[in-house]
Amino acid sequence: MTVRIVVPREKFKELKAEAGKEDVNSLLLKNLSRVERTLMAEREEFLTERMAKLQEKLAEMEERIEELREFYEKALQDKEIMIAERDRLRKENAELRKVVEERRKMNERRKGHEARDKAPEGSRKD
Amino acid sequence: MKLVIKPRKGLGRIEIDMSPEVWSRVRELSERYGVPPERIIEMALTGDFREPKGDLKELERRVKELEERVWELEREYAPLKFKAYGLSEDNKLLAIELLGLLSENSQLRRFSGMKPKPNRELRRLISYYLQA
Repeated sequence: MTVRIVVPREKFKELKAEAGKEDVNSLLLKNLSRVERTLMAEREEFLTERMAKLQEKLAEMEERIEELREFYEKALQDKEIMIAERDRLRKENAELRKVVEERRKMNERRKGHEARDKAPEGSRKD
Repeated sequence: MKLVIKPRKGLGRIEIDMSPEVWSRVRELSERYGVPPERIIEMALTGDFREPKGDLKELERRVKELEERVWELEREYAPLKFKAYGLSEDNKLLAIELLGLLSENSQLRRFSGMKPKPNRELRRLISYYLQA
């Protein structure tokens, strides 16, 4: 297996100028701990950015949940109010229908009486 | 493990056999930090090094905590939104029913010779849920 890497031309010249191939190995070994520190610094940078994004998202989520909770509580109260109003109106309408029906019957009776009173004497059967 | 180094521009190549010690350390770093071995070798050779500023473990712990908190809230949000939507739909149906009842009520009051009731608060609720 072969690992292939490309380096800037200047760096390539420097490496080429190293005395022997063994020197590249020692250079690698010497620098690997510093590479690890660099990778740690990169990870640190990534985590710091991620933390800022997460904090922003957390605040946004908390606000959205709070709004939703408020909406839910209010909707629950409204539902109770509307159910009570519906029951009240159903009852009131049923009573009003009776009143209207009563008035209609009374009107019909009155009209019947008026028609009878206005009819000519001879046309009365009673 | 063979290592071939080439310049970005121009000709030439350096070929070396990486010592098992170097290769094993490269692989270890590659796995731990999720970076390809080529990049680790490139970094070691080009020498553009940086130093971490703080406590990485502590930072990892805080990010994990935040991730869990966000995840918890997301799990809480979805069912709550579903419940709120269902409730809003229930209220919309109630609003439609109430609209009919109010209209019937006005008509019956008129026929009974009674004054109509404005029911402003109820009408405000109805229009809110009909628009929802």
